[in-house]
Amino acid sequence: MGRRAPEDTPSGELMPGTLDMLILEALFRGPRHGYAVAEYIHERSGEVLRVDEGALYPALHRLELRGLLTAEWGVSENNRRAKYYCLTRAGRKELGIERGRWKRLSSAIALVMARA
Amino acid sequence: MRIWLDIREQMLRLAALLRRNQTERDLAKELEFHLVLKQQKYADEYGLDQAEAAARARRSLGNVEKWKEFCRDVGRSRPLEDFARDLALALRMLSKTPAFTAVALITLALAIGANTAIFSLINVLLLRPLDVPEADRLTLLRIQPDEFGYTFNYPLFKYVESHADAFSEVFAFASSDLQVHGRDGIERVAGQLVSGGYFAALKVNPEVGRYIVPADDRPGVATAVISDRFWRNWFGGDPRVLGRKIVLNNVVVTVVGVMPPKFRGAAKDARPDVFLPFELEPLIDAPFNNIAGGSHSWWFHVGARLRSGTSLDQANAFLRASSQAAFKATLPDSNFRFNGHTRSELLLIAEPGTTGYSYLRLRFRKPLNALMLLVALVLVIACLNLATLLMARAASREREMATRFALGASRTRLLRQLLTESMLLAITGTALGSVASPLLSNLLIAFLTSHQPLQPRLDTAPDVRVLLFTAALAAVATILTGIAPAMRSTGRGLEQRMRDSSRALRGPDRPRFWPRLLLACEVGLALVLVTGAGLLGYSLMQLHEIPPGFEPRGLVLLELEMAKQPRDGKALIRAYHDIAEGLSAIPGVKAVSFVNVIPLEGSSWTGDISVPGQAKHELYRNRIGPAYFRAMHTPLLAGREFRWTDTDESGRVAILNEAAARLLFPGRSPLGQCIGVDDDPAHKATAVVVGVVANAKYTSLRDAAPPAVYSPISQDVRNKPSHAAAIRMNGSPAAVIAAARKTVRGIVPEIPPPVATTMEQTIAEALATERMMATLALFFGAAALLITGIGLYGTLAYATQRRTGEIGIRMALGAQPGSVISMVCLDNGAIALGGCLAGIPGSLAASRLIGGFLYATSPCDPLILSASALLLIGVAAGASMIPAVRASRIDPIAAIRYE
Repeated sequence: MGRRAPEDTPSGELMPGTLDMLILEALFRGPRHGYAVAEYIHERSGEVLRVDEGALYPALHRLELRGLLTAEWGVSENNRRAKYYCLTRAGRKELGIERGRWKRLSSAIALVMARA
Repeated sequence: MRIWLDIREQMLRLAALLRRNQTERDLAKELEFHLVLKQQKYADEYGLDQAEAAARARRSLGNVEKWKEFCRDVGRSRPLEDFARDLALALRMLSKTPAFTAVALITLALAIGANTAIFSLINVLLLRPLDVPEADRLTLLRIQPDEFGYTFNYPLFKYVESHADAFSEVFAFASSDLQVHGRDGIERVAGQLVSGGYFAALKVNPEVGRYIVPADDRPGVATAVISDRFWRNWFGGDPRVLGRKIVLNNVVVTVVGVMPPKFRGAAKDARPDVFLPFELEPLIDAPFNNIAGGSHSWWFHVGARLRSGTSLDQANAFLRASSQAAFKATLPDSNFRFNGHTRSELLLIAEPGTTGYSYLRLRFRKPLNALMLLVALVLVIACLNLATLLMARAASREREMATRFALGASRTRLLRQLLTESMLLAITGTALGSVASPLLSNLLIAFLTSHQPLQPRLDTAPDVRVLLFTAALAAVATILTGIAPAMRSTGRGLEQRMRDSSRALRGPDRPRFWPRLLLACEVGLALVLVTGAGLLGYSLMQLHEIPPGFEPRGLVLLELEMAKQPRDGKALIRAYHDIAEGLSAIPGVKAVSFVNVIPLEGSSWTGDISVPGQAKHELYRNRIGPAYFRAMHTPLLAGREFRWTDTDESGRVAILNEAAARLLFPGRSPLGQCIGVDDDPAHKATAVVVGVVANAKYTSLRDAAPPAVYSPISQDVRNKPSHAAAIRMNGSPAAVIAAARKTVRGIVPEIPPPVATTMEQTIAEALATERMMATLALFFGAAALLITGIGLYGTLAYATQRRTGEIGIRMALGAQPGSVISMVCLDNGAIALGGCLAGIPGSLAASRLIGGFLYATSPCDPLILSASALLLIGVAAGASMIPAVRASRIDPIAAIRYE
């Protein structure tokens, strides 16, 4: 019924449609706040992927609405109040599906590109 | 899982909508935190000072507001928010015009309340199944071709019960008011005599103990099953109730079970508290014995449950094949007539019994359906009225609409907003109406059943069907009131609107086709209602004008139930004599006598009268006390009244009414003649005619007074007969009734407090259907008139207000107030006239529908029709005068300057 929010504005460096998956992956090892999610993705990608804040927060909120994440206010390492996101069971399940799909997709793309 | 997530998402969106401020604060805090960490990072990594780092962090984020907006969009539900906004606007608009809103809500609440009330009665009586398992497999047996042939005798039932191949159980039930010794003397309890198969057929298990089984249903077994209510009131809900004794009608019965609260038995309008085995009837009804009465006693109803796998058609085929044998076996008299039908004409049929037996249904089905039609009309009128008023109002909101169009609102968006407004009206009106409807339906039930001492208890609590009906009404009301005005006010293009928005350029007669058509329809429908009300009211007046042959005013009847007290024979007559003397001593009492069958109460007694040389006549009979006709104010034409000295020893006597005298003794005086009076086959006697009285109505006011033969109560051959005291009095009946009850208790303390009714109440009860129809029709007719008047007034007032400038100019140019008034009035005059003309065929058609309820009134009575039309035109004129006069007082200068 509700109109969906505009999809995350693609940052030139992120493949469209992968942000949700990356966020879920970033939260797999435990709750993080939004800044930490962006940092995690940046660092783990060998500083290749940069997540645009204008896309990150709407994506986090959307995932929360869909019940894949829960959010809770907590205290950060620098003693400030921050909103921590945490995977729900549905989120873990979704992440499993996304991982499988990504595996198939990336190996398929790799196969195609390998000829060049 | 997916669906669950979707639902959860929508709930969260709704929740987010409700706490929008909180969400907004959270968002700001989250972003601020992000900014701080980013600033920290810049400061640490690039060694910038704090201010520089903050600036760079902010720059890197870009337009913060834009992505805040994205975040907001995530949690937002646009239709919901739009709806909330529409609702707020509608509330604001409606509260700005309180008069309009009040009229709209009151008319809607009235119309919807009336519809719901009538529907809930129809629902209870006609639609709602009995609350028993597999109610759709139940049937009711009826004796064709009699439309009301639901009453059976004992041998016939026993025959059908033992030849019931198509049914798993055939059961009999008879309602019976029981007397029980309570804390405050004798009390009445609603009872039901039920045959052995009754509970097995209804398939409801008792909550305590067991129900009545075939083994209970034999002479000498005095078991009882009680209702949950009786258990709680009488035994305080004691779980050890089984085996306890109750004394009912002087019979000691033992409680063997308690039925659950929802169980109300097989009859819709009874709510028995005690169920007794059928074979207990002779003890319960003593001194009468309907079972011994055999084929002469018709006193109970029969139902049956279809055998599994048997359809109703198959059951009826079986009954068709076997019912002649049943009648031959159980009605030995081949000349027997069942309500005028010979034995060979009779046929047993099984009707769907899903909704149980209901006397009220038999009596009021047709009037209720007619009433449903009537209130539906009222609803349509109320909706049309609102539609025209909304249209008129929409016209004054044209600027608002034009502006919103110009700002880019879509037509659907505006339609949605206007419909939200009418929906708000409809739903609020429905809510108010639903609150009022139980009051109305209870009032109706009280109206219909005012006379019975144990009033039929109908469970009118709303169920799913009533709720759905009410919701459908709200939807219909929304659409009827909203669609037309909304379509109209959003129908025209932007350019046309802009052109129109300057008032001076607008012509005086912008086409107002739709509002006029709707108003004319309203007038036409109102004419139908007013004519119907006129006809029913006139018919009721005619009925009340009928002389009953006695004076009903100042006559009170006190029903003395003597069957269960110890006296009989001479001692009982002595008691009646004492009661007569005691009652005569009460101040205000003019005369006292007794009567066995109260005239116009609905019951009757007929018997064979023989005169030598003539065939037997079956005539209406009655037993009356001494000086009865003096108390009734029925003229004594010849001879004398009965006296206390007319006893068995002094020889049987009789009084004839004029019709009977003319029938039995044409052309000669009946005084001193002998007639054969057979009280029942066992008591053949000859009586001497000692008096002749004027004719009086017996069972029905509508029918001509029948020939009747009267016998004295002092020569009654039955055991412990009950008679009603007929008290002629002055002043307030209440005081006399209270004194009379006290007197009776002093003489016969063993009887329950006698039921007292005035003769006027009895007549009103006899005319209950007609009275209810006429009262409601008059009420709804008046409501229709009022609503139509408001509609005509409202539309004209709006229209005139919008023509202020034009009228001002006309008056500045020399128009006289009179011509302004007629110009304004003409509009409504045309509508009223057109509506009336269009309404006449409708009225004639509708009148034919109610023709069956009319007495001495032609359905197309020209006088009533034209009076109704004149009344409507009068209302239209009245409604038009106020705006017209106001228009004629317009100050031209002010009007033009305002422009």
